[in-house]
Amino acid sequence: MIVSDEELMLECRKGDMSAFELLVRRYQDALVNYIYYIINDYHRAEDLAQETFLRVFKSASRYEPKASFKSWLYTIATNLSKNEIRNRVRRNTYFLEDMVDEGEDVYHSEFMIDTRYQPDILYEKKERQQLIKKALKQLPENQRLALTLVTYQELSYEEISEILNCSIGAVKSLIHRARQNMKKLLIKAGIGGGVNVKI
Amino acid sequence: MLKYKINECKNVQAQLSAYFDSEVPTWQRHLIRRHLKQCPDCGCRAKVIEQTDKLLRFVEPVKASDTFLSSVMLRATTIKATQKTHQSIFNRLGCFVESLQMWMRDNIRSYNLVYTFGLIFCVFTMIGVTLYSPRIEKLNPFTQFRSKSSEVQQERLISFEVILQEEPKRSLKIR
Repeated sequence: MIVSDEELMLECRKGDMSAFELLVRRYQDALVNYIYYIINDYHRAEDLAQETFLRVFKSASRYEPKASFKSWLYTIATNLSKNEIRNRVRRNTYFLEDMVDEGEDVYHSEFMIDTRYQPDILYEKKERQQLIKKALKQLPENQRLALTLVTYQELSYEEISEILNCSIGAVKSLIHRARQNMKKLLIKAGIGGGVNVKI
Repeated sequence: MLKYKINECKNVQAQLSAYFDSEVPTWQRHLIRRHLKQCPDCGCRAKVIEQTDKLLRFVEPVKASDTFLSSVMLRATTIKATQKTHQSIFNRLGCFVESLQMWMRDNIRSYNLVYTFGLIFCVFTMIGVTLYSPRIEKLNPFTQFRSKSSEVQQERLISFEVILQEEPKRSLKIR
């Protein structure tokens, strides 16, 4: 029997550390991945994901299972990521990954060790991934958030509307515009030109 | 007729993303599916959305490092310890009442404060009676005598035990 997140959170509220551990295990990869797509810095994404879980833990005593736990968790993560981006702009600082040349992956160089793939295929794959990431980075903040939540976290429009604090209709149009812009950016980058339609 | 078709296309195109994410009601889903079969332009746009989504999913997801869980748990344990030390007696009592209410809600199915406080009173009375038994000796005027007699009895017992352990034969002679 799978215990729901809300039940685990209620256990955590009573002081059960194993319930909290299970929650962290459930969401650690998804959350790090989500924050990484927003701020584009792996180590900072890990720090912020840790901060998110700790905030959840700190406010566990005040938790009421009214809204879904997932959307609450992602709301905290989104706010922390937005703050991080704002601070970065204010301090005029850049992340290491922004400064590295295209195609160079600073944190995932171990991917190159895998010899199952041909080096040229691997390089092509990596380059394509970099281009997609770069295109995603160029999207406006709200569109990027909505698209990341629906594509990589597979959340429903209702959950996204709770996280982004807007109506479902607004989420619909955000995602629609994000996909349109993404297609344009991908065509500009030289990928995704299989079906050419004037959008 | 053409104007009607253009309007229908516009409506469908606005809903295409939601249709792709299965976020439209069933009746609308059937209508859009039928329209996509008939209209090549809208069908092509649906393909574009599908292709963009495929490309986005092409990016490999990153995973949390192996030390992530342990460091989160370590920090959480520290927070829990500090929270406990900083908690005042009233806060702790509040937490206790709250958890008791939760327990009662789960087990006895009653969420009444009167029941809770009644139960707390009973529990504390039981604990109090067990740990600090009522000192009748202080109230009784013969307590001094009683206590003395008990002390003498204890002394006798101790001496008897000592004799038994050290020189059992002598103790037997004495008897």
